[in-house]
Amino acid sequence: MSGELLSRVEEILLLVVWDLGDGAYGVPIREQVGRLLGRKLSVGAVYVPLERLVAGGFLRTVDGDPTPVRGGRRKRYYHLTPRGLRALKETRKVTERLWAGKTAWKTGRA
Amino acid sequence: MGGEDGLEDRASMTPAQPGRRRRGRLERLLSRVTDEGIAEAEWGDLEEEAAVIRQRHGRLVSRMWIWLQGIRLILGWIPRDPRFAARWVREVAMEGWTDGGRRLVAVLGALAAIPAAVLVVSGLLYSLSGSRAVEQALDSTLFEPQGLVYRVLLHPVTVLGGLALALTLNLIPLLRIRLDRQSGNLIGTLAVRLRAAHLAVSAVGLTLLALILAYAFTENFAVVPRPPAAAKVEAAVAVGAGWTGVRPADGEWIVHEIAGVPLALSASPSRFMMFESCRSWSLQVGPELSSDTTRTRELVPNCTWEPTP
Repeated sequence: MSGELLSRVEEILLLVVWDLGDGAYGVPIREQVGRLLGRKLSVGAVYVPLERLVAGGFLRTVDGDPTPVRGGRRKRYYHLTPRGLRALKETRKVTERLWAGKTAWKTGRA
Repeated sequence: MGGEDGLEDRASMTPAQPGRRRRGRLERLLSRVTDEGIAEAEWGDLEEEAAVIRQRHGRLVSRMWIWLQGIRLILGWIPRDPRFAARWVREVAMEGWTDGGRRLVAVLGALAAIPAAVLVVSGLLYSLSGSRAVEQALDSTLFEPQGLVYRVLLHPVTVLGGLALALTLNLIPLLRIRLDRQSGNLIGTLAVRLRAAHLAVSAVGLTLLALILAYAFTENFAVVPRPPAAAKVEAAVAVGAGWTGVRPADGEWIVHEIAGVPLALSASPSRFMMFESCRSWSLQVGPELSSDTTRTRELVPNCTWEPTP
């Protein structure tokens, strides 16, 4: 894999899904992202990129069972795919290369 | 799996509602802008979070929250799915009609076509009846320029806009268009459903449109006879006593003295015009002026078939 870079939102979502493991569905993903960013995103701001990642093969989904509290609707669990993992590693490498040697920011110099 | 997470556990403290709840309008709309399974899961997540909000802030706040988030979710899907427009046209505009919706659309279309029908029928009556009484009746009612009927009902925007609305409303539920790609070729299929009300309104609308366009075409592009083209003037040469004259085709006479001094034909154009039809010319200085040729020269045509003036 080369050149498959993720946007910041995509990277965050993949990391959160990875972190949540088997419990990664819409509600906890949105909560976790909100905790990380310090503000709660709208539902659409989370679900739409999640489905884009599914369409891109970075995530796969598994339907859960319907539950009463959801009005009998199923959950949609997200799981990181090998391709998603590779994209995360690649994005991290690029970020690290970009940051390499950039220590002067503490003193305010470019 | 997800049942252990805090939110659902907290939400589960509310009385459970077994079985699938009836879908609301927003949820149905969501399922039209995205996949059915995705819509179900997303709306389920909204319901789950709304249950927690209901416990904290009450039912009204939770319903408002779920509506607001639902709308934002729907809006979030619309621009991000490039196939949305095609899907919407196929599943909503072409397929998603209830019987009641179709009846309503047919009636609305028929109402919208009324101004065009009035215009066409009254125009035909006016021009074909041949009755002075009918003409006067129409002039004083429909075709009265200051009248409300003329200014509103027969306004071009009302007539053509209504017709366009009628056709749009009734052709969409009638037609089914498919585009398929097969081995590199794009194949289009157009199917027309046999739905009597839509077919009738569409047929009437198309007929009215054709009549209006035909009338506008004949009025705007009526054949008006042109004035007859001027007769072609042929080239000619004239020779007179001490003068030569040359007229190129479609040109004017240029007359020279043999000594080489040019003299404009405009000296006496009216007299030249009298002999324009002569093929053979001889020009000479008029006898009355021959004694003073340096001051005034009158060109007198001498047509061989006409007597010398």
